[in-house]
Amino acid sequence: MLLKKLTELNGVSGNENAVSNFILSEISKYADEITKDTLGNLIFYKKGKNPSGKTVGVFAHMDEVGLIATSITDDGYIKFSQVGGLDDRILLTQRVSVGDNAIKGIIGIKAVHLQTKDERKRVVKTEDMYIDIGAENKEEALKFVQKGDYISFDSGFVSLYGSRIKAKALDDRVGCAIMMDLIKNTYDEDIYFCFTVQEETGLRGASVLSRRLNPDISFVLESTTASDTAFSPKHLYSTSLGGGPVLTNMDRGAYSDKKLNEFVLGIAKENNIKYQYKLSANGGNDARALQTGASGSRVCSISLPCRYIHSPVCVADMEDFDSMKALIHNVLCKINTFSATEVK
Amino acid sequence: MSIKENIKILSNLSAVSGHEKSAAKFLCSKLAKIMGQAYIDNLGNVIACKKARASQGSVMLEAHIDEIGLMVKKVDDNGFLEIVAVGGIDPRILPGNTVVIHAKDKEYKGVIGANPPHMMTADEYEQVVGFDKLFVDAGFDGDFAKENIPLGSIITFDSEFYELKGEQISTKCMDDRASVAVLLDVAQRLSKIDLEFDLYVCICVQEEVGLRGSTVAAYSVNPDFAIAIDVTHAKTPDESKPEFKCGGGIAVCKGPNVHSTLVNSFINHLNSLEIPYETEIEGGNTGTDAWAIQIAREGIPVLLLSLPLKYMHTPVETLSLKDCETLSNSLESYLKSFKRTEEVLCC
Repeated sequence: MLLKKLTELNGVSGNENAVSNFILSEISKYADEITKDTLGNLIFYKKGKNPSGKTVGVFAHMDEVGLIATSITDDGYIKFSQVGGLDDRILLTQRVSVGDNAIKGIIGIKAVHLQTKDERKRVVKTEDMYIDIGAENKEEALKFVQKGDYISFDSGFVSLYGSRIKAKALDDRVGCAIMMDLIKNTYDEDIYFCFTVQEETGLRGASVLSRRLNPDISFVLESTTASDTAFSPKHLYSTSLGGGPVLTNMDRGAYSDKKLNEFVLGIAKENNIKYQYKLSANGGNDARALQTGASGSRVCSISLPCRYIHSPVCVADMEDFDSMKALIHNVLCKINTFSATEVK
Repeated sequence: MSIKENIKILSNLSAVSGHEKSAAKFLCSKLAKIMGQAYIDNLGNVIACKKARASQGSVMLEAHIDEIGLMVKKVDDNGFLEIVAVGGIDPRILPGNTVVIHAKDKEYKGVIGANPPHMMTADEYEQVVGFDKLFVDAGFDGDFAKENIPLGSIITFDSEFYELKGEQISTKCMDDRASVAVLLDVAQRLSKIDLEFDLYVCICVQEEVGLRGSTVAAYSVNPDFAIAIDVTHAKTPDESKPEFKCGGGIAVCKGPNVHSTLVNSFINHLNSLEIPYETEIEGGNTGTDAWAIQIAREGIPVLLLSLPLKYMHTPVETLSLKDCETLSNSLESYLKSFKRTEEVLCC
């Protein structure tokens, strides 16, 4: 399964090579032209049968949140900092994979028996944590790990009850998986399928890509926070699992193009595809960089609702995933008519 | 089978305190094959015996089978499971972990949820999420969960046998499954040896909730002396109090809980073979089954040996295979070093 393979690859922001190599090896044969830019973004150009002449891009980011080794202690433990936004509270006792040689490690914490009452009330901060790889001392640790090594969660793809799944890096291998499938089709419109880097560190890949491509229309395929969880009041649900792909009016960084959003909504209705709107304006993604990059782009985010995003145990619903793929496919089937009439 | 293979198999068993039955059955049939006799008592303890031809006494080796875990407290309308701890668990380690829910005859994988940073205020980041706000998400809908997940269902950490450098193993329930693995190894190694005393191996239940299994196992077996095997805290970067190091050798306890003649006899044995060990000083309750065994019947001389363990009561309890092998070697050679239990206890 493609999504399983993709989520089990490690690609912390700035170190997306394993993901980008996999994508290149899987889909190069479907593209008419392939570009890898300076930052590592991948652009697969796919010619259409009846193109409008406008530039249409579809975007998903390859990178994921993770950690990076900052130093090694005298007794052989690895200190680290975060790459992308992580909650300190999900890190303790995680199994991690360190560096390109995938050295196994765990984020330790002293036993509950040895903690003082005060300690138990305090959140342990990333700067106070350490990774144990089993090394005897610094000298031995240095044989396996270097400062600057990227560190990923070691958390496999697991099927849960029904159509629910758990994996790391659903944000945004979901978008990658969908694009890898859709590029096999030939649409009427010319499409640029773009796999970006460094979204999690500030939309940096998309920023430079927007200037290379200057797209008229940009679809951003993403994962977005689902907060339909226990102890979360219903009025604070941002999105819900099982509710279908998510359309966004606005988030912290982008305002979706109204006409484009309406077009997508029309396609969803026409094809009886379940959809939902994002009910909060939190979060942000490459749409922000694309909307205001170069001479500007009409943007539209289509996202998969995902619980516990930015953790090793993201939970999503494969029915939503399938609906999301169907929606985007149907959108791309007709986007040339939209481009021809709506884009000057 | 090597100790490592034993650990791999045993760590996969689920035996949260009070729910040790299937793990006990597994061990009972294994030990019966190795030692000749084995049964499960009223509490669920596995009591195995290798009978001597003409018995000159009896020795009991003991480790506990139970592990810490979680239990379903409530199933909410949307299928999320609210949880309580069985045994001592720091709630701060739970979010982001994968777990296994043992319901009726079926197992389900789930995760311990934590809401994402995007939705949180700065204050919320600073707060520990306690058991009152922790939940398990297995993707259930409310109806399914209410029908299929009885309250009180047991939840274990998803076990993954994780090999670190330096022959260290990191997985769930090494407290005290690693000791059980060592005892299996010792039993195997002694299986072809004619001992002149009856050798009992007791794998006891409910240690984590008050040393309950060993209390009755020691009563039933009533050995001339017992050796309890457990884990002890090893040094980690965030705690310098423990004196032991993973891979630095086993810990031999001294203090009122253990029988000094027995301790001296064992230490002399270690010294004679130049086996590495550390001495663990405990002025009172060791918190191990040795504490219960000592006052079983009219009193039983007991020795307590421990494996240094990092991150106790977490899904990534970490210890050294070298220490496990040292422990197995020292027990095997010690039990072969005397013929009658009197030889050990009289001097």
